[in-house]
Amino acid sequence: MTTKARVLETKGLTIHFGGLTAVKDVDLYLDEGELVALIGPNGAGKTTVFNLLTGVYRPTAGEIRFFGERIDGTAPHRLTRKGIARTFQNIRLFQNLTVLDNVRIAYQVNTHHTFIDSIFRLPRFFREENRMLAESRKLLERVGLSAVEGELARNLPYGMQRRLEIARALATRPKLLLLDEPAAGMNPRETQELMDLIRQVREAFGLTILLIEHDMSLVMSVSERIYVLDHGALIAHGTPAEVRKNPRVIEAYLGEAAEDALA
Amino acid sequence: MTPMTIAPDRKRLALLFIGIVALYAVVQAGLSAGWIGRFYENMLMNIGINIMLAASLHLIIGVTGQFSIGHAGFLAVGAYTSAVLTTKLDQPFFLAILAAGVVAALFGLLVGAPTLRLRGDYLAIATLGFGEIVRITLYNIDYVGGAAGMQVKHLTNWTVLYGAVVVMLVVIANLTNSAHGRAMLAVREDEVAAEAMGVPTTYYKVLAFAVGAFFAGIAGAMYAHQFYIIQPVAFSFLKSFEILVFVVLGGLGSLSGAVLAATLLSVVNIYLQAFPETRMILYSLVLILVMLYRPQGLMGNRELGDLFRRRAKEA
Amino acid sequence: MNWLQQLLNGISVGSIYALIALGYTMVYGIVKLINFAHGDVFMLGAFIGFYAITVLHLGFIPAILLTMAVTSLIGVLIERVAYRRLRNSPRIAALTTAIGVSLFIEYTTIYVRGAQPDVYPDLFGDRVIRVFGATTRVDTLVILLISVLLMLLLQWIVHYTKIGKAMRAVSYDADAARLMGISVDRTISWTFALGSALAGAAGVIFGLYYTKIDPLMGLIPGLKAFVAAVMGGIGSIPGAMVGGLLLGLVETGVSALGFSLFRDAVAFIILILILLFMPQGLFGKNVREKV
Repeated sequence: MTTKARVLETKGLTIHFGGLTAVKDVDLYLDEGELVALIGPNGAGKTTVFNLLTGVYRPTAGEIRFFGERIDGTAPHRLTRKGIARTFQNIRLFQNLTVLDNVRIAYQVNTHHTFIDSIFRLPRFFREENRMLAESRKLLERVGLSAVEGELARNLPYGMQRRLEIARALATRPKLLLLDEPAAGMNPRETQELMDLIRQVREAFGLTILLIEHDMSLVMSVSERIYVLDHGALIAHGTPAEVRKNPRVIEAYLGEAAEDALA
Repeated sequence: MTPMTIAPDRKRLALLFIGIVALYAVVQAGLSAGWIGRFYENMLMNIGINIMLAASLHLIIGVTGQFSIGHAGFLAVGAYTSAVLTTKLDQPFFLAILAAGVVAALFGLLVGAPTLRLRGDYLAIATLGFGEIVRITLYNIDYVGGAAGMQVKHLTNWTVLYGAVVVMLVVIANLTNSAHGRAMLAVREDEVAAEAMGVPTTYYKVLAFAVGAFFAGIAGAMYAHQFYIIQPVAFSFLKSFEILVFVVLGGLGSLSGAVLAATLLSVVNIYLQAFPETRMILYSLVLILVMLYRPQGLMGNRELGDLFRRRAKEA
Repeated sequence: MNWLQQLLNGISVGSIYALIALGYTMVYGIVKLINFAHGDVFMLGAFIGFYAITVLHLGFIPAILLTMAVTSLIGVLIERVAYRRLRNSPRIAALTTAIGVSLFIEYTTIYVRGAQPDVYPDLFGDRVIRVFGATTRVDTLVILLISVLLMLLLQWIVHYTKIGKAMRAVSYDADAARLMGISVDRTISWTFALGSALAGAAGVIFGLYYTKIDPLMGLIPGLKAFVAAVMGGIGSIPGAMVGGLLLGLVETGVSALGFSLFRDAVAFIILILILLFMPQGLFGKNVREKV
C-alpha cells in the first residue's frame, strides 16, 4: 500500500474568470493505478478542473504536481508528452481525417523523425512511420475499431466516436487518463461495454484514471474513490459508500433534481 | 486506403520520374526548336509561378488551416531580395533564388510566430496587414526604386522554373504525407484537441508559414527575373487574393486541386489580360459561387491520385 | 499649423473611421463575420452622394439622407445574397465570400464608370473658422457635427428602440433570442442596414473632406476602420467610436512628425500589436473558447 506513487496532487487549485470563481481551493490526489471519479451537479466546475489539469487554463492560485513535479502553467502538449491524456465531453475528434489518422496523430508524440527525414524520405522516416502504423493498428484492434480504420471520424456512429476518443488518448501513452463524461449519450448496453473497455485498458496499460461522469450507478460501481464538486469547491470525498451517505452531497444533488423537476 | 506497410513503391516512382523528365524534355525541345513561341512560353512561365504560389499557400491554408491572405507579401520579399542580389550586387541567379526563399522564410517566421495567439479572421486581417506593410515599405525605399520599381535582368528560364516547381511539389507532398503533415492537419481540424494529443501547435503553424513563405519567395525570384520589372503595385492585396482563389477553387486541402486551379486560371488570365476589370469580376464571382454552391472546390480534399486509384479498384 | 489644428484634423479623420468602424463592429457582434465588403459600401456611399449632389442637384443634407437610404438597402442585399447561406459554415468560407463580394463591388463599379477619380463639389468653399486661435475649414466642423449626431442617433436606436434591443439580444445569444420570439434574420438585416447607412454617410463626408473619390477608395479606409473596431474591442459600439478617433489622432500625429509616407502602415502595425497584447481591445469582453 505504502509503495504506491502519488501520480497527481493539487493544492489550493483556484481559477477566476473575470469576477467569477469557477474553481476554488481544490485539493485532490490520485495514487498509481487508482480509478477516481469527480462528480457534481451541472456547472459545478468539473470540466474546468480538467482544463486546469491539462494546461488549457492556467490556475489563478494553487499548484498541481504530477509525480511530484510542479506542472501548473505547462503547455497542454507538453503535459501530454509527460503522460497526461484526456478525452473531451463534447467529442473533439479530427472530423475530416480517418480513424487511423486520428490515432496516428496522437502516436506522433512518440515519433523520432524530423520534417527533414519526411521531406527526403530518409530511412528513419520509413522506420518510424511503419512503427507508428503498426502500433496504431494494434490499438484500434484492441478498442474494436479495426474494421473502420479508413472511415472519416465524422462518419462514425456516436458510440464509436466515443471509443475513438479514448483510443486516441491512449495512443499518447499516458500514465494518467482523464475521461470527461465518456458515457454521455450512450444507452445502458453501450455504457456497459465502455466500462468493460475502460477496466480492460486500465489493466493493460497500467493506467491511473480520473473520471467525470453523470451516470451515478456507473460511478458508484467502478470508482474506488469519489470527489464531489459543487459551485467550484469540493464538498465531499471518500469511498462510494461514504459519499452516498454524505448529507451535503444529497443536498447538492437534491437541489439539482428539484430544479430539473421544476424545469 | 493506408497500406499495410509504408515503403517506396519503386514502380510508381519510376513512372513518376519518367513522366517528369518526359514533360521537361518535350517542352525544352519545343522551346529550342521554336515550336513554342513567345506567347506560349510566357504562359508556361506564368503557370509555373502560379503553381508555386498556389501550392505554397495550400500548405498554410489547406493543410494547416491558417487563413493567410497576405501571400503576395512573401512573393514581394522574394522578388525584391533576388532582384537586389542580381542587379545591384551582381550575384549569380542561383544564389539569388536561394536567398529569396530564405529571406521570405524569415518573414514567414516573423508572421507565423504571432499566429500563436490569433485565430481565424483575426489572423486573416493580420496577414493582410503584413502584406500591406511590405508593399508600403517597398514603396518608400528609394534604393529599390520606390513606386517606379526596379529593372531586373531576364534570367528565369524553363529549366530553372520547372526544377523549382518539381522540387517544391515533392517537398510539400512528402511533408504532408508524414507524421508532420498529419500534425498540421490536426491543427486545421481542431487546435485544442491537437494540443491535447501532444501536437505542438505553435511549432507546426510556424513551420507551415516558414515553408510556405520559402517557396513563395522562390516564386518571387522567378517572377522578378521573368517580367523585366518589379513594382510594389504588383504585390498588392489583389495578388494575394488571386493566389487565394487558386487554393479555394482547387479545394481547400488538395495539393493537386491547387495546382490544377492555378494552371487553369493562369491560362484564363492570359486571355483576359486585356480586360482586367472583367477578369476581376469573374474571379470574384467564381469565389462567391464556389463558396456558396461548392465549398469543397474542384477536388474537395482528395488528390488526383485518389481518383485514379479508385478507378483502378472499380475496374 | 499648430497642435490644436492637428487635433481637429485628427478628430475629423477619426470620426470618419469611427462611422465605418461602427458597421464592422455591429455586424461582427451579431454574425461574427468580418464584412470585407463594408469598405466598398462606404465607397458606393461616396459615389451615390456625389451623383446626388452633381446630377440630382440635391443639397448636402438631402444628399446624405438619400445616400444612407440607398447604402442601407445595398447592405441588406449583400447579406441576403451572399452571407445568409453561409451563416453556419466555417469562418474561412464566409470570409472568402466577403472578400469576393468586396472585389465584385469594386470592379463592377470600375466596369460601369471607369477607374478614373471624381472630384467632389466644394460645398463650403474655403471659408475658415477660428477656434481658440486655430484656423480650421468649415467642413472639418461639419464633419464633426454630423458624425457626432449620427453616433448619438445610433446609441439611441441601440438602447431605446425595439430593433436595438433585438440586436443586443441576438448578439448576446442568437438561439435564446429566437426562443423569445425575436426574428434573427430580420434583426441581422437591420444590423446590416444600420451599419451600411453609417458607412454611406461616411462616404459622403469623406468625399467632402478629401474631395477625390475613386472605386478603390474603400479598401484602405475600410481596413483602417476595421483596425479601429479591433482597437476599441470588436463588438463594442462605444469601442468603435473611441477606436476610430484614436486611430485618426495617431495617424495625424505620425504625419505631423514627418513620417507621412508611412501613415498607412501605422494602422497595421497598431493592429498587429493590439492583436498580440490586448486582443479584447479597449472595451471588448474577454471571450474564451469553450473547451
